[in-house]
Amino acid sequence: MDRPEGETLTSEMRTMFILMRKNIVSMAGFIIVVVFLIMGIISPYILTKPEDAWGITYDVSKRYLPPSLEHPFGTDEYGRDMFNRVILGARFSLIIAVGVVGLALIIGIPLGLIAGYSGGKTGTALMRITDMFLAFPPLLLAIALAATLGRGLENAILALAISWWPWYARLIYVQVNTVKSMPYVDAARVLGLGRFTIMFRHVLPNALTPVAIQAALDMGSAVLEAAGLSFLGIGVQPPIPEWGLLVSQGWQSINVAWWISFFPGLAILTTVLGFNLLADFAREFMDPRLRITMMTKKVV
Amino acid sequence: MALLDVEELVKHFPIRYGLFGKIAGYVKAVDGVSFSIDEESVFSLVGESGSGKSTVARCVLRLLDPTSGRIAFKGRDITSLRGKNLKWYRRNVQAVFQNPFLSLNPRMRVESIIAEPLRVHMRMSRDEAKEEVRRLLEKVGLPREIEKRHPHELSGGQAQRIAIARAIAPQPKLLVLDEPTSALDVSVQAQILNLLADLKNDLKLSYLLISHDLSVVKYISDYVAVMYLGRIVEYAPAEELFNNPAHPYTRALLSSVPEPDPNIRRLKSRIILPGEPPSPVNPPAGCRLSPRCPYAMDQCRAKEPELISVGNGHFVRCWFIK
Repeated sequence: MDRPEGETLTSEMRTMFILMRKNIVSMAGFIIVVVFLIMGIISPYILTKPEDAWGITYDVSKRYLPPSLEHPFGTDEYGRDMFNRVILGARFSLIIAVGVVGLALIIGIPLGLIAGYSGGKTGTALMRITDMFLAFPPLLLAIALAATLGRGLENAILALAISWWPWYARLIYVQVNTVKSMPYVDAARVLGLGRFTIMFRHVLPNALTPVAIQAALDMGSAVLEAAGLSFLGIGVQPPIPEWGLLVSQGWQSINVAWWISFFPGLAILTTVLGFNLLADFAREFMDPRLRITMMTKKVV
Repeated sequence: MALLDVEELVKHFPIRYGLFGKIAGYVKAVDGVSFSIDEESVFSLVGESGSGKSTVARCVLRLLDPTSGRIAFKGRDITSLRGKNLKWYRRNVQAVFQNPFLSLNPRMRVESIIAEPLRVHMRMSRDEAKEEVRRLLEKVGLPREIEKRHPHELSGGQAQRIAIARAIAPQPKLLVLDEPTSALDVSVQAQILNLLADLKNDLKLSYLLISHDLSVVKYISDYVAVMYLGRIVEYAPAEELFNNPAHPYTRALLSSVPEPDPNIRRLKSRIILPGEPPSPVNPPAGCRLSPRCPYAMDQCRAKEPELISVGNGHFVRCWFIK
């Protein structure tokens, strides 16, 4: 007998960890992401020099100090400790990542769900609107929006989310189209359930898995694009220690003090790399054929 | 008055092509089917894949809107019911589908699967529903512990019993059984059939059974209609049809049933119709079986016969009956 593909979440998770332990690269990605998440949550409470991190201090005597034991990542042009600033930066990157992806999901999921389940003219109209957004290169659209909305953390998040949701709407639309022809959806209709009950209890939960995974993986790209916006000066504003902003601030003095840009840049690189490694793992994990290769492979 | 009356049911699916969805033709899945189901009786539709039997079921279940024709439940046309009236119909007509693992939502527990119709149609509170779920589980012969499981933790037979419990939960009058045993192991098929037979007597149900498995049909049916290319070709009380099949297609169909006794098998001859069933987009002129029928004459190819009575409530769509 055919069984549905969706095994229980717990047994899936167990297989996932077994496979991950066999694969050092994926494990590294997973650890990086976990460290990033923890840092994002606890960083404001573990700072050794909170005034430096939040950018309140201005001490000319400590300007441009190279990395040392006292200042592992050196100091910037205002004499602020870069180590503390980079640590606190994780929080803003996490806020941006969660904010952008969350907001994009809030817009994209209902639209894709309604378009996919209703089909017909409503569905086509909704998907054409989505296509219009997809026609723009996402970063370009985000830059235009951020420039129009004005500077600031909230506007940067909003601009990125608006350029981002069509991807989720598309993905959920395709999934819903598959799920809505499943016999359990027919059964729900025969039972006389309401349209919204069917959509949210029977269709959405069974269409959500790929979207949820995609969303988790997109966090890395959100960090990168937000850093890009800040670097261009249309995202987060100083003195908030967002990583992209830190890189751009150190840019002018790169010849005298390389460390100001280098360490925040390294933080961006590591985080995005971590998410991408995890993405590769998830992609292989989702494909049953690749999963078998993963199980038989010894060391990667 | 019959419980369900289907009159001249037609369902054509348009074939669209090109950018603007121009209609190139129609798949004539169901092309004028009439039958009626009495209270507390079992009516079976048999036929091969593509004969349109499942489309009839989906129209009766209002999962598809018929192209034309009338479907009346307790004398009331249901093809255009909406809102409250449709809900009344939904409560009275429930369904059991072929593959229970696909017809049960994989993310819901047994308990909530069965409770769903109770809460929608019977307006039961959470506690009342819980109580009723246990009663229903007992009714379909399952232990109460099963209520906390997910569908993939059940065996095929258990899952189909859950689907049946869900179907009888709102106390319907008619169950549409769309190949209810074809996805199950043979040993389990018999148990499910017995359960269905018991429930029919206990709850005074009527069944519309869709099946290609003639042994299943023979076991449980009161009336049988044989479909070929969207048309009923023969219609009779079950015993009469199996003892005196009159239409060449029915005979060929019946001769395809494997006979376990080798002594009888030697006596039986297998009737094999040449070729494949034609496309329902362009059904053959005249009798739809004529290109494959060993007895076909000119008359058969020219004009399609009506359903002709041969007595004992037996009707056949064949020129040879005259």
